[in-house]
Order: sequence, then C-alpha cells, then structure tokens
Amino acid sequence: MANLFWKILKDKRAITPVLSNLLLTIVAVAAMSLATTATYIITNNLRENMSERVMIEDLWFDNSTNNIKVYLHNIGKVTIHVAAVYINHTTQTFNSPFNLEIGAHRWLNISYSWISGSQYYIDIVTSRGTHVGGYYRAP
Amino acid sequence: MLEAIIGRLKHSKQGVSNVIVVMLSLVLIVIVVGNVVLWSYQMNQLDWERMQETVKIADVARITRSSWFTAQNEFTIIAGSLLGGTYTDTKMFDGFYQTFREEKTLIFNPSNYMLSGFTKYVSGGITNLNSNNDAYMNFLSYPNYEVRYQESLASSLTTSTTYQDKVAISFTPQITADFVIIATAEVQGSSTSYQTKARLAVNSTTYQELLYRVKDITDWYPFCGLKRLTLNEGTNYVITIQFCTNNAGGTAYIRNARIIIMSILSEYAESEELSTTDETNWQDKVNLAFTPSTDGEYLIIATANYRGSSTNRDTKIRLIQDDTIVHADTIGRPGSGTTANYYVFGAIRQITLDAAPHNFKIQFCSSGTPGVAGISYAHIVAIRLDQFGGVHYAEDEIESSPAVTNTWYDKVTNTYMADDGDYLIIGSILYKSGSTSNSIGLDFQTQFISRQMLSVEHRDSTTYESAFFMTKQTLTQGSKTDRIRWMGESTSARVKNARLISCKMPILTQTAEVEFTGTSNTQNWTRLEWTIDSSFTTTNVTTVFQLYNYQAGQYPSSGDGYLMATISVEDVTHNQTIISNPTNFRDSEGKWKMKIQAVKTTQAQFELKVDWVEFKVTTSDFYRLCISNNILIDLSIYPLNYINGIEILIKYNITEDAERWFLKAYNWSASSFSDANFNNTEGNQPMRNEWNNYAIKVTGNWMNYVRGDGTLLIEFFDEGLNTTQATVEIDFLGVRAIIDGTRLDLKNSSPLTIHIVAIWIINSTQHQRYTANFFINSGEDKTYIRVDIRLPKEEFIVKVVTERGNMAVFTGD
Repeated sequence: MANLFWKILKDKRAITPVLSNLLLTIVAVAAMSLATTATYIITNNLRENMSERVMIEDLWFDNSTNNIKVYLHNIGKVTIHVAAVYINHTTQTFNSPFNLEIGAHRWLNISYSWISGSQYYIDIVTSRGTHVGGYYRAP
Repeated sequence: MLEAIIGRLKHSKQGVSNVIVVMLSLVLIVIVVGNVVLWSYQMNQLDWERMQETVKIADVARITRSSWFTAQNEFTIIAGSLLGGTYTDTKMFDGFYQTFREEKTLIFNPSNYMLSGFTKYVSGGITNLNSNNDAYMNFLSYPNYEVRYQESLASSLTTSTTYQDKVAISFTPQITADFVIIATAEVQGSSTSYQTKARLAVNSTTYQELLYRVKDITDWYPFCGLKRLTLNEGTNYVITIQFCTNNAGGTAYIRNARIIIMSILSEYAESEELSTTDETNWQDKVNLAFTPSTDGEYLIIATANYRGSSTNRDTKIRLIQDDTIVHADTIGRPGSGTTANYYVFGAIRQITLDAAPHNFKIQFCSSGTPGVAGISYAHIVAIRLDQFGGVHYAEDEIESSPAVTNTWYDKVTNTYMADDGDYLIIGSILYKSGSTSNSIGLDFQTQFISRQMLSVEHRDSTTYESAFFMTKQTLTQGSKTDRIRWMGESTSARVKNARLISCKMPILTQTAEVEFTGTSNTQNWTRLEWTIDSSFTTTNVTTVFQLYNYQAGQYPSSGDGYLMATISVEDVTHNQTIISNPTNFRDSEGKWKMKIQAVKTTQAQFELKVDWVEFKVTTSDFYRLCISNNILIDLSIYPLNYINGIEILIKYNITEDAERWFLKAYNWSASSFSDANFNNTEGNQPMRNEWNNYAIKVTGNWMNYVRGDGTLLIEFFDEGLNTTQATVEIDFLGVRAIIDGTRLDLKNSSPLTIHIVAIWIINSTQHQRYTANFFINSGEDKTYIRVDIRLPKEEFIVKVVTERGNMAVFTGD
C-alpha cells in the first residue's frame, strides 16, 4: 500500500492531465456564465422595449392655469418611466419624471403658455425611448 | 464503423471541445431568438387586437328616471281574492293583466313584537310573519333557573402553599342572574404548628376563607362557604373549593367538598372586609333588611370567618333577627398565631316571616378586655322557600349533653315523604368539645349514609362553634330520613341549635315567550280566524297560543282565543275561527295582540321559530281589496346615494267606481305602511271599466321607503266603501328611481369583446374622467347607465376608453 502511494507521488505525468482538464472546465463554465448573463440582460432590455405601450387619453389646454395637461394611460406590459416632454420639439418642464405601473393612469401637467388657436406638436418620451404624442390645436 | 468513430474521438479531444462550444452557442442563440419571436408575437397580437377593436358611441343622453322595476313574486293578498293571472302579468304595459276581486275578508299580520321574561330575539323580521314561506322570526328560550352541583368526597392532600382545586364548577350562565353559592367541606392538618387553608373562590377571587390552626391532627374541621354573585350570561365562571397548607412542613387534607350554585330568588347582604373590635358588647358586622311581599317561609343562611387576638380571649359571633331573636350564638378561641388564623361561623334556620320589615344581623365582639375580635367574609342570605317543589324541616334547639362518652346520639332527625327528584339537604348545628384534650364528633346523614363527619377539639372548654352541612341527593318517592348525629369524647361535650332542611329542587324548564301586536279596523266583524305556523329547534315543546280578549281584559285560558299544542322541529299550523263576538279580540282602535308561550322541561336552550301569524277578519258591510308586493330596485345600477326620489305607477281597470283607490309604501323606519311625502295622498278616483293610471312621486324622505337592499313594499287598496263587489285588473305595477344620470348607447362592431375602462366628460371648463368597468360583447349594442355622471348643460364631448387603448368620441349638447 505504501509503495503504491509513493509511486503515485513520484509519477508527475499523471498530475498534468488532471490539472489541465480542471482548468479547462473552470474556464468553460465561467465563459458560459458570462455569455448567459449577457444574453439575459440584452434580451430583457429588448423585451421591455418591445412591451411598452402608452396612450394619451386626454389632452387639456387648461384655461384656468394656462397649462397643458395630458392624461396618460399605461396599456403596455411593463412599467414605464416618463422621462421627457417636448412641445414643438422643445423640451419642457413638467411635474417631474414619474413611473406609471402597468394599467395605471394619471395627469401630466406641462407648464407651457399656450396660445389659443395655435397648433402644437406634443411628444412624450419614456426612458426606454417610446414616443407618444401628436398634433393638438389649442381651443 | 462505430468503433472507428469512437476511436477517432478518443484520439481527437480537440474536436470534442469544439462540438460542445458550438452546441452551447447554438442553445444560447436559440433561446435569444425564441424569446424575441415570442415577445414579438405577444405584442403584435396586442397591437393587432387593438387595431381590430371598434367601439362607437351611438348616443349620450341625460336620464332622470331609472327603468321600471316590477314585482318578482306573487302578490300578498291582505283582503280580497285572486281570480286569475300571475304577477308576471303586471310587469309590462302589454294588455296582459292579473285579476283580483274584493271580498269581505281582510288579513292582518303583526306589525310589532314584544319579548317576555328573558326571551331573546335571534333573527328574522316582523315581515317574515306575513306568509307561510319558511322565513322565520327566531326567539331564544330562557331557563326558569340554573343550577350546577359538584362534589369531591375522597380525601385529598397537599404540601403546597398555593391553593389547589379540590372541587370546581365551570359554568357559563344562559341569562344574567343572581346566583347563590353554597360550599361545604372538611379539613385536616398533619401538624399543630401549621395551618390548613381552604377557600371558596370564583375566578380566583376569594369569597370565604378558612385558615385553620390545627388543634388535633386527627380532627376534621368544617369549612362553610356562602356567597351571592351576579353572573353574566355568556361569561364563563369557575367556582372552586381550594385548599393548601401555610407551610410545606405540614400536610393539608380535605374531603367531602361540595359546591352548589343556583339562580334562585333571594335577599342578600354581605360585608367581606376584615372588621375588628375590642368591645365586649355586640357590634354589627352585616345587616340584611327586607320586607317580604307576602307572609312566607324563608331559609336563612349565614357565614363568616372570625379570628382572635389572644390565646386567652374569645371572639363571639351571633346571628340575630329583628334585634331580638337569636338564631345562633357562638364563641371561639384562636390557636397559636392568633390573628393569622381564621375559623368558621356557619348557621341556617327556617323561619316564618310576615309581610313587614325584618332584619338579620351578624354581630361580633370580644369576650374580654384586652382582646380584639376580628371578622371577615360575613354573608347572610334569605331564600324564600316557596320556590322549591317541597320543603321538609326539623330542628332541635335545646342543648344536649352525652350520657356516655364515645357514643353516637341523634340530635335532630328529619323524616319526610319524598317525591322523585333532586333535593338540596342542609343541616347546621352549634357544638363544643367541652374539653381541650377531647373532641366532639358530628355526623350529617341522609338515608342513614354519612355525608359529612366532623371531629373537633376546642382550645377552650367554653368554645361553642357552629357549622352547616350540605349535599344534593337524587331521591326516589318514599319515606326518607336525614339526621345529624353527635358524639363526645368527654361528657362535657354539648350540641344545640340543630336544624335540618330538605328542599326539592325546582324542575328545570326553558321558556320562550313573545307577544305580537297588530292593527285591523273597527268595522263590524262576523268572523275572526287567527293562525300561527311555528316550530322549534327541539322536540316536544308545550306551546300555548293566546289572543287577547279586550272585553275580558285578559288572555283567555280556554275556549275562543286559546290554543295549546305540543310542537317539535317540523312547522305546524294552528288556527281557530271565532264566530261568537269576534270584536272582543280588538280594542277600540282595531288593535290586537297575540301571545305565544312555549315551555319545555329541559336544561338546554331552544329557539322558537315563528313562520306565519295571521289575523283574518270577515266584515259584514263592505267589500275590500288590499294587496301588496315587494319590488326591488337594482342598487348595483342605481346606488341609493344617487337616487333623488321614487315613482310608483299602477295601471288598473275596475268594474266599480264608487270609491277611491290608494297606494302606500312600507316605511321601514316606522314599521308601517305610509303615504307621508307622497305627492298625492288623496287616492285615485278610477273610471269604471277603463284603464286608469295612478302615479305617485316621492321626493322627500323617500329613503324611509327603500330598505338597505333596495326593496320597496307597495300596498294597493280600496277606500272601503264598496257595498258592491268589484273586480280589479292590474296591467302594470312598477317602481322607478328619480335620478340625474347619463345613458351611453354603445356599439361594438369589432370581432372582440371590448372592456370600457374610462369615460371622459369634457366641456370648455372641465375634463372629468370616470372609471368604468363595462364589457360589450362582439357585435353587441349596449346601453351603459351611470347615475353618478351628470352631463353638462352646454356643449360637451364624451369619450370612452377601452382597456386596449382605443377611444370613441361623441359630441353633444
């Protein structure tokens, strides 16, 4: 028995293939993990982008405040984040960026001095780049 | 071939690695592509459906009336008869009608009820009694009294210094009442250096406590407990006799422990806190004063716990009546430890009292100076004995001495003829050992069997203590003998004031009693028929139905107005027709009342279920028609908050026009039919043999006529002047709500079901969104009514929004 143990220790040729196989396995597993994670992140972002749907239920040129109020409704499959508002391609201040859960709806108040009879292109942009809007004529 | 491939693979390891890497890469690519395709498909489907969805608003209009709501069940006929048709014929203006005819018979049902005794209302409403339809009013019975008894006769011991249960009653009263609690036991101690303790406790609160300093370790010293407590229904109480020692070095023993608790009527006084005096003349501890309503026999029971301050001074206690009659007079001396020890005073006596003021007192004092007498937990109760089924009493008041030591003698014997049943047997005696080294023995027997056997050695030759004994025995009919025997180890022993009473416990019954009242009329009656349909949640309940006779000024006990039956769990209808003087059973205003009394010999509560109570009269003069029916407004569409009033409409045709016709609605607050706040209370004068429309509008206090579930009970009746029999045809009877809402006519012309989630009402000053939850099937035209939406008076836009994100727009003004 002792002779056998001594023989294994002395035989360096048997160690090298084991180590090389082990290293190869670790590298392969690490590489595949990175690939899987990257795939998940990429496809998840893609899925969220594809699932965004938001509609404008109502747009109100409010005489009493002289603001423009937009009623948004999230009809998509993912929570949206309203990130920016453009009127006639100019960014506007509004009542701070906000999240809209799936199925949720609320007013978005845009501080803008509109002029009666004028036409405005209103564009609301989410953080994932979805645009919703159109041309509206002030009453 | 296969071997060749395997051989090649074995030699070419680089090739295998490449294959694995390629395979894994392919898997990842397939996953990515698969997911993208799947999500793309899902969102494309969403977009596709959204594109296909087509909803249109055909019309939007303000509505001020709901749709008509009509009868859902057959009419209840209070007077008159049904000739043809069903209630469904009254649901539409379509020429189909239901036909009724006036009759000389009128039906009245109760409009109110009153509970008697401790009967409790359980469920149901008075209108449930209008018909025999298995909709009940339920009432819960109550007991004539409640009693519980427990005993634990074997000797128990403990060295614990905290109280241990010897016997306990766990009890939840069915009704709140005053309960008399009587407890007896015997205690012993293993060491004359320590105390044996015993107490009567209710939910761990002490109401009588003996701290007995052992004089002789072979003695059995009495424990007597008495208390009256108000116990609340539905609350659980634990009544216990407990015992322990004051030092673990001594063993405490207890035996023959008995507790009885019963809710019989009694007079009661107590003074439980410790009172002390160094006076040698009598001091009042507790005073029970009352005046019997009539002359009668009473059982007086008194208890207290006393202490002394010195081993050469006594504490004296007595029970007196009206400051003159002495029922028990005792003297006791404490053992070592003096004020730490508490001993027993307990006495009973049957007495006769006239209907005049009386008082009973427990008094105490010290036998000499200096000496402080103490007394606590003093209770006196006086129980009127005519509550019991039978009472047998004997007493021997004179003092007796033993002719020979260690020989048992009868002191008092109570021999009587017993019936079958439970008996409460109580005895009491004053006793002294007459010697500080000899005991006196007492033996309380029923049917010659010892129930309690005491042995007490006193600390002074003058000590004269008292005790009472108690047991409950189930006796059979025949001669019975109870007795108190006694024995002296010394010829100095004495006994006196020995009393025995045996009381037959009342039979336990449950009673449910309720009185119904109603109205009728003051016309001439030729016949009265009264009917009750009822049952119970138990079997064989003796039930008496009575109709009040106003002429006699009482409920009859036989004949007209009296019915008796034994009823079980099945509904049974009982009725009686009165032809002789039927108007005796109403008062001058036409009011009547009916009583149901149900009694069963049982301890368990039951429910009386009344299904139908009817008071039907036949008049001699006029033909009458009176019908009623429930009409239900759909509150899911027309919530009460948005209703501003109600309208009632009846379309009818009649063969006579000699009288007017009326509509009333049931006022749920006042529990009666009413036309208050109706725009027309004058009735409707019909045209003979023509269709007449009679409409009523109620805008003030209309809520009184609409029950919480939207039910209106409408009554249609004649003036009561027709001497010619008329036939009435009803084409329509309906109720509608007065509202101020919006009606949207919507059309879904798409192949998909549409879910409307929002409605917008827009005008120049307001953009108002209303949440909606309304579905329209594919290809369907549907009307959506919103009573909470008021349309603007000027130009407006209405938009509906679907769940998928489409909108339809309507412009109106």
